[in-house]
Amino acid sequence: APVDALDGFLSRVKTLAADFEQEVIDEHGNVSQRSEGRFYLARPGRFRWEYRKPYRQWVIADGSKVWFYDPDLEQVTVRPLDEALGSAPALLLSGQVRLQERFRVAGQGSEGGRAWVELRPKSKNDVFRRLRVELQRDVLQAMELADNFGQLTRIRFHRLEINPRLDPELFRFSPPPGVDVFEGT
Amino acid sequence: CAGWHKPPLPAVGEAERRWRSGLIEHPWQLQGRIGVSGGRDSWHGHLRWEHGQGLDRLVLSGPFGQGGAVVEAGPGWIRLRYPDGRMLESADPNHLLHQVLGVAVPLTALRYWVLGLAAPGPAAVEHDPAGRLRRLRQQGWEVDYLAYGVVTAGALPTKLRLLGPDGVRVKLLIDRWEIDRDRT
Repeated sequence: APVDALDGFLSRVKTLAADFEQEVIDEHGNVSQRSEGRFYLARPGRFRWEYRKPYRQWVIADGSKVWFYDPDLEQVTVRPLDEALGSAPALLLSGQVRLQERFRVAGQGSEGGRAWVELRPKSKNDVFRRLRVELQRDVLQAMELADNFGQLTRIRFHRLEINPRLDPELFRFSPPPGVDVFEGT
Repeated sequence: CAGWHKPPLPAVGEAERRWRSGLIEHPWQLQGRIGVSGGRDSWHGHLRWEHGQGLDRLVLSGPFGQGGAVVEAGPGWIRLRYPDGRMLESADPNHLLHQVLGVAVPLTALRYWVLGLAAPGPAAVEHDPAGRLRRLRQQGWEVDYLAYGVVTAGALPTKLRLLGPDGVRVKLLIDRWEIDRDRT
């Protein structure tokens, strides 16, 4: 069943590498943002979203903090990993918490090797409404997040590598000189 | 980011000046990134601003497109919504914006500044050779226009840096302007 497929995938994965495409659909149904880049994961607690187009941004979790860096704005925001994990796609993948603990997890059917799982936060005032995950032959394909403003964020993965060898430097970040760094509490 | 290394823009003609000042009453939308620093707290993320008849809607979001906050403001009211559903309303926009951005950006004036216009009232202005605003001092703020980009009938700012009275810096990078879309 779909939930077993997701659990199976997550239990097999120690590291991941993939290209990704991201779309944000606004509350009018229009695509308001399109971006793409490279994604790396090392469970538990380390990931790297490298946005490359239309502009470069990095979101790097080093196991204890998440660094969000925008070179055009010359700004870095740093947050504790567990707090930043409100950003659900990272939470799902990073394996910091057992899914069933924080979400109601329900299979949404499967068809021709593809399966969908829906996660709804158990706490009423979580920062998103629903996260839907798509797998193909038990491998993660896409995620769709619905927030409380009626926006949808869709992330689709391509050329996914499971358990590749990854350089630990990928999950370290030191702010370049002259950049404003702010440590959120 | 696009803009400043392009060949110099044509000089501002009367048509652009009229078009631009008409935009205050015309629906438009901008997409870009906003960085606030130097104040109580710093924040940066994506900004989508929908300007319509008597309503401004600013959607601020962090990475993964997730909602950071939505600000909706009309004449004499402002409402702020957080991703977890909390909502605040006030008749004093500056007070509420201070709560969201950690800095009281004068939203009514910002509507003009973002279009490359001075807001009504006293202002010290400096124009670039092509006749577009380069620097503006108004209501205790200094606005530097670092880049313009051609939109439909003229050029609009694509990179602004604002310096607030208490040393707060707001940087705005506008990746896309949409003018002729009616906001349903």
